[in-house]
Amino acid sequence: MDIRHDETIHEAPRLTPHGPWPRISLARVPYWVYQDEANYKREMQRLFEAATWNFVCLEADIPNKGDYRTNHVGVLPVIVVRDADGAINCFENRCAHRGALIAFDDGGNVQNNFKCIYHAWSYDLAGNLRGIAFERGINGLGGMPKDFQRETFSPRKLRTTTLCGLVFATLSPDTPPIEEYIGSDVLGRIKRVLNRPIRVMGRFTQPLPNNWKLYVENVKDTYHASLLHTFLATFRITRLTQGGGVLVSPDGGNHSSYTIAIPEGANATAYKDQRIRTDQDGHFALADPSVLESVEEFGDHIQLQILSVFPGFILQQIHNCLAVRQVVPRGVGKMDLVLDLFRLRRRLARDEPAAAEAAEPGRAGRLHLHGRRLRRRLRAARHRRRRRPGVGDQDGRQHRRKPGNARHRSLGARLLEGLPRATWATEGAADGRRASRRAERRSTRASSTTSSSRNGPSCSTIPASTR
Amino acid sequence: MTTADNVAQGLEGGLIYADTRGMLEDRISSLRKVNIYERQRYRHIVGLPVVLGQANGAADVETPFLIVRIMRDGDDGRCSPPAATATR
Repeated sequence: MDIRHDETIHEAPRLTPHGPWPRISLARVPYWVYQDEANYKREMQRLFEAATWNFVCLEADIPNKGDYRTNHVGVLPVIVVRDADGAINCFENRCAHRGALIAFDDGGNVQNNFKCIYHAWSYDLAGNLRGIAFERGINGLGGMPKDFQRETFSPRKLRTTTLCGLVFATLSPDTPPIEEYIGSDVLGRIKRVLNRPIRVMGRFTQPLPNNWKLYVENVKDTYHASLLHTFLATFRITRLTQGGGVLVSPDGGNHSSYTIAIPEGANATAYKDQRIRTDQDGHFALADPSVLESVEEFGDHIQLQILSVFPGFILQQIHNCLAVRQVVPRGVGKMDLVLDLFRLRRRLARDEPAAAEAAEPGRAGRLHLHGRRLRRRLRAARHRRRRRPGVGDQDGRQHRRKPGNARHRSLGARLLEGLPRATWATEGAADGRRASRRAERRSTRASSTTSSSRNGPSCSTIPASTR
Repeated sequence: MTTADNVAQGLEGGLIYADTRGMLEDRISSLRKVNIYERQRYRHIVGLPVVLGQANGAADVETPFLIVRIMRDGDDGRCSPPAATATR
């Protein structure tokens, strides 16, 4: 998706509270878009609380009945919970009474009800208001009116959907099915990373002092990576002139950027040839490069992938480090970046083609903490949790899937069947002809984006002051 | 390096992963020579060490510490309210 700098907008300039929108180019966005309070409020309503799919948790976070996580859809606090039928429900985390948070913790397990601590109003696992303390009053005095209908006082409910173990929610009845929303190109890349059940390894929240859009845009900015993150080039891990590309969904909202690393050998001057500051004199090598060890499971040499789903979801496969990231706006100039690190739960099976290439499968996402003391503590924590039924230890449990999700298990194998590598796209890929047509289209696009989008700012939107 | 929350939940993933001396050295050389940061200083405040136990001539010791990162503008580097206002 190239936005040319000389591409002028021909319509009359739209008037904004800050003056006319710049006419010069689609590639120019005025700074006030990142700073304006009213604009921020509109974004929360029109982007997050509208016809978009918002990442709310991982299925692995809530395997059993009553398991829940709390999260935000824009600024709207929500609860995501697994019910008795195995379905996943999502509703506003605000008590219908006084608007207090119904659940305070990041997650946990409830038996059948959430109970607001303020006045003990209770909600079932679908977010229906079930119980009101002293509903009939005391000794005939007080209480709710006779015609009070609990059903009409439930918190707002969101529709949920799952994809490869990711749970998304939307407030709008008009949001298209998630596969359609993401688009087949980016969808295929998400399925490449999340091809097996996962286990959460750790969660981290990083408060950032910037407007949420700056982070989302940075995720799509392939220009900065080897320039700003100097360790990448200095330690000769990644360079901008490597192969790769960017896939963008037709609506521009979702993307996948990827870097291809082919072992270099004869081409060893490639880093020097760039002549950028990051290639300092004298080769600067990692003392212990084993931290970067990964397994070529798919034979496509994709070393790094960053994927995004509008408005605030990011999936990363950076070498052997797998994580989902969520952008949580916290005001016009603040956001939280929430990271869930995860690993794949099992090795590829023997009959799955990629297994033959994997000397030590399952290394992707490998993260260990060492030290006897920490290991002891982790063991003790797991042990405590086993003795307290209902508090989620994912280790000791069956990964519960809704019937429809059983397909995830064999997805890796199915994606690889009879398809040229690096082209497995969607589940519909069983149809070989369709898939190969798609593959052709994709490879054309990938090669055309490689030169233009990775070498300069031509593809990115450049903030420009309107002053 | 991880959080108390992760340890309490038995989650083993760390924000920083280093299990050999070489990996630790890489972290330091990366900090000193390779990475680009806003100017900043660190202040380490070390608490009282606690000897938790002894066995076979070795001691199990824990020391609490607090690290303050001081940014160029004197801020502690965490989020501050947005200073920017809309301009035109």
